[in-house]
Amino acid sequence: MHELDADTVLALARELGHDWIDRETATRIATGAAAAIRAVLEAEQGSAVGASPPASFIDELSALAGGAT
Amino acid sequence: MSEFAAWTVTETVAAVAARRVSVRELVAATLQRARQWQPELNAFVALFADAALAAAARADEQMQAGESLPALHGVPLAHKDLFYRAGRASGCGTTARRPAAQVTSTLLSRLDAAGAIEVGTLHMCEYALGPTGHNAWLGDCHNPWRVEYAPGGSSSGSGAAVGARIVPLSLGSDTGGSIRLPASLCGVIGLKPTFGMLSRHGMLPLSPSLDTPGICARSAADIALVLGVLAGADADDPTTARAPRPAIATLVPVNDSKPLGGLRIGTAAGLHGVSIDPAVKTALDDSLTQLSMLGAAIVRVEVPDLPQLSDLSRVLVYVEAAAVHDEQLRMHASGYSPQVRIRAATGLAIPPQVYQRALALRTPALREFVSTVLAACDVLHLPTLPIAGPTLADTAVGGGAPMWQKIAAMVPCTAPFNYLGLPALSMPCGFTANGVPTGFQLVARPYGEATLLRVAQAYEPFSAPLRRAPSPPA
Repeated sequence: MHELDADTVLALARELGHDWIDRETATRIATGAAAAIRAVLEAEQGSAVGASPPASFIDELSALAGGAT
Repeated sequence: MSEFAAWTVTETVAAVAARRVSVRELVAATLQRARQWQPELNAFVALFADAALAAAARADEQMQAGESLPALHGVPLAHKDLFYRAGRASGCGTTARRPAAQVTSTLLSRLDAAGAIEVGTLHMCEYALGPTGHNAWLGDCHNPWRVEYAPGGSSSGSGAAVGARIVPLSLGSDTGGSIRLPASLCGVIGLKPTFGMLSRHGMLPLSPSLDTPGICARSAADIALVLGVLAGADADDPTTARAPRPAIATLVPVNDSKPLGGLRIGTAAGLHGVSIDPAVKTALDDSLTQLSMLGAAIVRVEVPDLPQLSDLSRVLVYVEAAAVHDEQLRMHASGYSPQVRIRAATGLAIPPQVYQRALALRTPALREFVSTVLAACDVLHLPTLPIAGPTLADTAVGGGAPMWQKIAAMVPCTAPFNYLGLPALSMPCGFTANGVPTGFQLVARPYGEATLLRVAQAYEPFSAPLRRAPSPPA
């Protein structure tokens, strides 16, 4: 996973055509995105059940459906 | 307050059918209440007075002609300003010029077919990105119980208009708590159905993996009635293909003194560091005592790490919101307020593989939650907002770190259930010391809405915010 800082976000923003992103905005985006990335890595490390393809989510909801209790 | 204002949808339908009131009288009174409250609440974005009165006149003519009446004949409603109607531009929480919609949302179409009358569109946070009710373009929405307090968001007007008794029911959308938060703070019932139960066709997207339309109302029977109108597969939204049509179109009042007999309600043994305000905790504990007296067995259950599920949910919101807003941000970034454009752009910096991992963890997390928590209980009971309702000033832009802490403290108990796709309902259960309502949240198995509504209906007579109304402005 690459380092995420304001310079990285600024370079990415230029590449993607988001010229409105200035250094202050890039710093805020980098902070929020880095926290999000960290959360996913921590969740993966803490997951005892592994991952599965996202396409199965709606199927899983149907399979786990409960009637009126 | 007029007699009509206190009526629920069910009572309104009965009064119209019995000719105790004309639809025109109902709509005129609704418009009058909306205008009376507007300077204090700012709950409406637009009122369609002429169109609503014309529709009311047609509805009265249908009555006089003896035509058979649909389920919501003549009921005046208003909805969050992100449900499209063909030929009309939905503001979606901005004043930016938006094109007129090409389609009418499936949910509005179904309400139209059921005879409901749309009197206006309701306030929302900019592009549904925000939990408080602030809006830099439209002005802030206010809480009907104490106007200096936040009504919650992003379906701010949906909570405020129902809480103020302007309309008996409204539609909103919920991506991380956007129906349940305003419902809790405005003292009404808020239902986020199972992901895929209601069509999102013709609704502004924020995060398509999580976006769920839902309902604010003052009665579980009303929600059951309207859910029956709205639910069902829609060819224009493939996520609804597997949704069963709920057998809950009518929720019959129960005269049993133990209406929740045989039901297990789980209370979380711990919330993984989520701090609960003492007054909220007292209200939650009192509600559990009452639910026990209604016959439910209260059981302690271990819940997974809710803040972690909330974080995973946020990853999906960030990345999908960035994709939804990508072109508009590149071309017209100045059309967004500074806070919202940062939230909408954060996902640009999250690598695709991180997003894929957050998505891939979702199904196992759902399976684990259902096989552990919802095996030990039929319904999980936990806070909607763990904090007392904040003021608009405390959560305004420029508030620095304390403001961000307050905002972050609003969603850790709601966002996990968007990630898990489970149905969740916020039920008002009291007031905190500041005079703002608070509520508990109930979560059930997928498509377990009938169970949630059964509990809500049993608890209704004991809900202080449902039993009395906020004072209307002079």
